[in-house]
Amino acid sequence: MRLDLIDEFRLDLHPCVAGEGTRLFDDVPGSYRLDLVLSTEFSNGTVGLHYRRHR
Amino acid sequence: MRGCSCTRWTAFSPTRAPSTGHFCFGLPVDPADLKQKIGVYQGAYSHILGRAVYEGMAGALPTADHPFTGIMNAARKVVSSRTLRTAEWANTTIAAGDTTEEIDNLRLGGDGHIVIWAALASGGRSCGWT
Repeated sequence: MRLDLIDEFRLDLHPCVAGEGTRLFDDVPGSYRLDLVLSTEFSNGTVGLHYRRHR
Repeated sequence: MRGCSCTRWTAFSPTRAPSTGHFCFGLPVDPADLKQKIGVYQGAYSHILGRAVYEGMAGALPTADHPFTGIMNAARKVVSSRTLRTAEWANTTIAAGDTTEEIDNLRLGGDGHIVIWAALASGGRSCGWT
């Protein structure tokens, strides 16, 4: 992310709060805009998130 | 030019494989979710992994009864690491050079996408996989 080499992100949002953990993104630029490409709801409550880097 | 797609993968454990009916956070696996992931992984030109992700996956996935086993054994894999010396998993090379140059080597000269496997060290703990 720091070198801006990533074009898109595919993340799964689980319906569960871990309550602890490592930051998902760290050591990143102050501004890093993404465009939503697709969100997919799955039957187990997970949502698949597909973002593209805003260029 | 190939696009770089970053996918977040918390951890891998053959004992919690989707075929057992439970995965992260004890949720049942939706076949549609699995199908979507298989499409992304199978269709990739290459897969980029950090050392920790590589070691976790290479230690379990190659011989596991898992939907990703065949795909990832056959896939072109690149470990981004300046400390790893050898990579035994089939079709794996190590990229230890300048990150931008190494990525460009993979991106240029064709279409398609490259999967970057991201993982969080604490992800496995959150999933009860310690």
